[in-house]
Amino acid sequence: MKIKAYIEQLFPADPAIRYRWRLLCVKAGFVGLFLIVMGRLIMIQGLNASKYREAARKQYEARVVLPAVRGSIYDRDGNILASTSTFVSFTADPQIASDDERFIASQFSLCTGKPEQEYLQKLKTDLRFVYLEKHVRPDLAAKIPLSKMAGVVKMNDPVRMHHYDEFASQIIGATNSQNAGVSGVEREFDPVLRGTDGFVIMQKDGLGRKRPSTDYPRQEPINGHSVYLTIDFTYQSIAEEELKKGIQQTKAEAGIVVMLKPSTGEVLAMANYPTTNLNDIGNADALKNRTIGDMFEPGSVFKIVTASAALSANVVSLSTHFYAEMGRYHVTFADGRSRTISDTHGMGDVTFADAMAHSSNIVMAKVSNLIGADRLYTQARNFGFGISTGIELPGEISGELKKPAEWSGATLNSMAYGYEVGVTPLQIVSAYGAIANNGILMKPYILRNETDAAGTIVREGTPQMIRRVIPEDVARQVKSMLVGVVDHGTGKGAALKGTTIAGKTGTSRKYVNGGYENGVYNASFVGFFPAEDPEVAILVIIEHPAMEYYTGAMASVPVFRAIAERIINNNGALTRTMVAERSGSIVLPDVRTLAAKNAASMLETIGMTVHIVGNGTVVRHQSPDPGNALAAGSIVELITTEDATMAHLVPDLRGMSARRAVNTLGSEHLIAVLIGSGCVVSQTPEPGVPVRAGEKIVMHCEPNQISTAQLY
Amino acid sequence: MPSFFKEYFDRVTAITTIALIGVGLMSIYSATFDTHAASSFYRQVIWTAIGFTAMLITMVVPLRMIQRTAYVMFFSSLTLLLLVLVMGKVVYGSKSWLGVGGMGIQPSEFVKVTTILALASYLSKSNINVANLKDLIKASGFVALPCVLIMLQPDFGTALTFVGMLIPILYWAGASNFMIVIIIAPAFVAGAAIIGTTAFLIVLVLLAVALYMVREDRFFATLMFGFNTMIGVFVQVVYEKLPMYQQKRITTFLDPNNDPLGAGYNVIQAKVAIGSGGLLGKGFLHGTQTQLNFIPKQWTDFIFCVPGEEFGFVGALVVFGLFAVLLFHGVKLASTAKNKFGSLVAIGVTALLTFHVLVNIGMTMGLMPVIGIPLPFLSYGGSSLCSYMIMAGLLMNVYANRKEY
Repeated sequence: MKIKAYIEQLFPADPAIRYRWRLLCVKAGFVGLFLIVMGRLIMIQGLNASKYREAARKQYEARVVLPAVRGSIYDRDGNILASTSTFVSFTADPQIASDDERFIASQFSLCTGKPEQEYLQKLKTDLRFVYLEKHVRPDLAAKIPLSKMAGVVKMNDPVRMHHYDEFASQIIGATNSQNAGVSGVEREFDPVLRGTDGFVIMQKDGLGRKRPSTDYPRQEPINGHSVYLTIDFTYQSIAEEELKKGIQQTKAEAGIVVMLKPSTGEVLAMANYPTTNLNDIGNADALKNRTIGDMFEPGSVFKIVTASAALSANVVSLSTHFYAEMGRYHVTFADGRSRTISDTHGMGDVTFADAMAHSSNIVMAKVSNLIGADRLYTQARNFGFGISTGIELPGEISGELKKPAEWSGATLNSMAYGYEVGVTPLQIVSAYGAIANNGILMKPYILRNETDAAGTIVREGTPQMIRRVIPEDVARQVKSMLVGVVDHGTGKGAALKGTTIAGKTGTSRKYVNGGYENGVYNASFVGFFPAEDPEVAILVIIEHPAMEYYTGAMASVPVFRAIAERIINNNGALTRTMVAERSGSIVLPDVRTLAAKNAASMLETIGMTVHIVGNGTVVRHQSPDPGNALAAGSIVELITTEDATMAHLVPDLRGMSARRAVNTLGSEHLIAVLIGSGCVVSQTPEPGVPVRAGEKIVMHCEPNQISTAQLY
Repeated sequence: MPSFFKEYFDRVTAITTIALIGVGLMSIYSATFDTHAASSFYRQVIWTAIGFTAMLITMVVPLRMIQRTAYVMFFSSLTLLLLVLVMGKVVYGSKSWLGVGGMGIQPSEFVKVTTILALASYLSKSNINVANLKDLIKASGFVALPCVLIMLQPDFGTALTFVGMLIPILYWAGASNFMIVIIIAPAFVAGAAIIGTTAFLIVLVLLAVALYMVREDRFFATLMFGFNTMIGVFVQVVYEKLPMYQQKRITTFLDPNNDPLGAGYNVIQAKVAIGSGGLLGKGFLHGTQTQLNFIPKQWTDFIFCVPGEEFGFVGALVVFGLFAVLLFHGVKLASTAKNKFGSLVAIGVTALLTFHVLVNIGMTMGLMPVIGIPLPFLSYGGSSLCSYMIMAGLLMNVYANRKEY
């Protein structure tokens, strides 16, 4: 009953109150409904606003990446070694494109010069996706009337081009399909080469069409920086060529050449053989830069450490006499074990300097006893052994230099002649650089400078002194011992008239899979010249040459000599000093274009020593140049070519960068006439036409156009 | 003069109406200026001018004359509806347009006005008492006629607005609570039956409580309860028998989120647009969702997204506030008008506008089923704009005559 009374109270019978009640009801209902909608509004716009904002952004924003152009890699003189060009690739959906396949095929054929049939073939498939053509030059690609072709899609395709295929592969390094560096300089400097991709936010509308957004500024890409290396294009080429030649001659497996400038530590060349084409990597293992990544037991080349330590400690002088035990020396160590140390050439009583010249292990072992473990260890450490050099290249190892506490009884003597220690080729050559540099060890470096996209230098490689390794007078003494090696010791074969070479031979074993390979010898020679003011230090290692060549003298010395000779001929400053030293009364005639035999006998009759390079019949180039006055017995290098009548065949320059084309013509003694800039697109005369030296070759160049044939 | 002006000129209605139309024109401009429908804005400006004329005329015509001609206007507008069924243009699946020269009109929009007037005219007669079932049914007939004709187009949403308007008028005219419950109940029961058995049972319990509280004849109440239960069971049985895709169509209607790519697409896009507007919005002409046409035909039924997105919560609140002021004013007018016809017209107009506002904004925010009705004064569409302005004119007329019996 109470409820009923309550309800009656709610719905009174009095019409006036009823009316007011009704009004209240209507108003309440009205307000209530408004509040519900308001609540919803607050929920959507207030509480969940960020969620919806995100949803909206996802719907309307489409981010289009504007790829940054990867920086280029140059040698020290600005020869371009690696650069990126944007090519165009065409893909097609054959199921759609087949409707006008004849038209498509004919247009592509016009563009690329390939037969129509090839494209028709590609379109005859059940697939929904095929590459019609990869990496087409953009100017050619623009000629394809894409708008008239259903089912054909164009894609921009930045392509990393390594302009010299196999040249300096281990230094430059490879890039992967995403254009990121995976080895060498490409990897080490990837962060600066890569640049920063830009982007533009496109707006998608409800129908999926894209248009540039007005709300966001376009973020332009920041193109990558370029890197100039200390590598010298010519030196690197010479190193690679001579290394390959030496390996073939000695039937070796592999080899290494490292060159650096002792006074600064600049790496001028790093050659590894075997090598691989960076544009078409066949053997990925060959990408390893073994000059910093492989560990060798150095052998005799390590004797400079012993000599330096002994001379610094004043335990010997150059003229101190030792008995070399006639080549066989039986030692019993403190731990009771014994060993026989032997020399290749048995000697009796020798001075310390001669012991070095003839590479006596026995004398070095005896000297090491005078030095003591700690001093020998410290000396080796100071030369930089056992520590990575810190060169700006990936994959460098530190080698292995045991502390005296870990040494066995035999270690001191063994290390004296380069055993029981692991070093990298770069460590060896930079240690020799320290001798050449009067006892100061420089840090090897490879970055000459880094420039931003506008060409402004942002970082510069500068010579860095690591430490004084030995006093200057000791350095001079060691240097004189090394000069003795080439003058009358094991390195005689390296001697070049007109310059003084300091060097050391070595036979070493390579560290592989946790141990040194037995019976597999590596012949090495490391030296620098001119000894008085060294310009370049060079290390040559020939790995596993045929037995008859297994010593350093036989396998590496000729390679060193060939490299040194060509470097001298190519280096203006060096050549001048050489010519001055060699100069005499005999003026060199011009023997170019003569038959090689005639030229050689002609030069020999006037008292020259002739080296014939190449197995052609006609002289293409002579060094030194005609007109120089030389002393009797000077070496003249004749570079020969095949052609009997005309000395030169015009090389195929098309697709080369202008710079490379000019270089190529220069080495052929042809004169380059450039029209335009960038890459050569055509040339007159045509490739293969025989011409005389000094003839002009006209090249038409266009920017950034390298033919696809050159690449793939 | 100022006092006279104040006495006879309904400033509240005038200002809110003009402000809402202003917001509407801005929104239409924003939603269309960059599309193929860019001419919509100029058409709407022309319609606004026409609407103003109509509003002013409606405002000054004597209320008694309107009352007297209400039936004539009602039945002539019904003939227009018949005409549409015979020779109308089909737009968006409904035959609701009548071509008049270059501009089409939608008679159903004008019928809303005439129905209110006819109903008010009928209910204001002294011998009519909607507390009587007979009179109530007769009164409902005024709505049923246009409803059926509009359903034939078919335009379910518009037909529903008539029901939304009818109930408050009847209630205002004195229909008993019982009657209101009886009229409303079947819709709720049917809806709940589709949603599920639990919802159905809850609604039945609520119905029982409501029927008890309105304390009418027990027998009739029980009968009505039984009738509603049968409706519910019937609906449920029929629903279960429907093929899957038709069931889905119904559930999507009740909750558009079930079909995000179809019917739900608009609602989701509308919610994204409004929600992403946040507190202050993205700025006029800078709403990404609006400018990039994510909401199809936004300038008609989903116009609320534009102020919601470009002016944010503040913008939405302004629109909301203007409507609230106008509609509250309408209720107040209905309660203060001495004239019964005027009072009923005011409540009818207010009810119709309220229904449109709540359902339209509710559907853009996913609260209500998408039934395709415009947002008064804002949505693009000449006929609807004109008819709402005529309604505003009616409110102003009632205001001017509020003290006359």
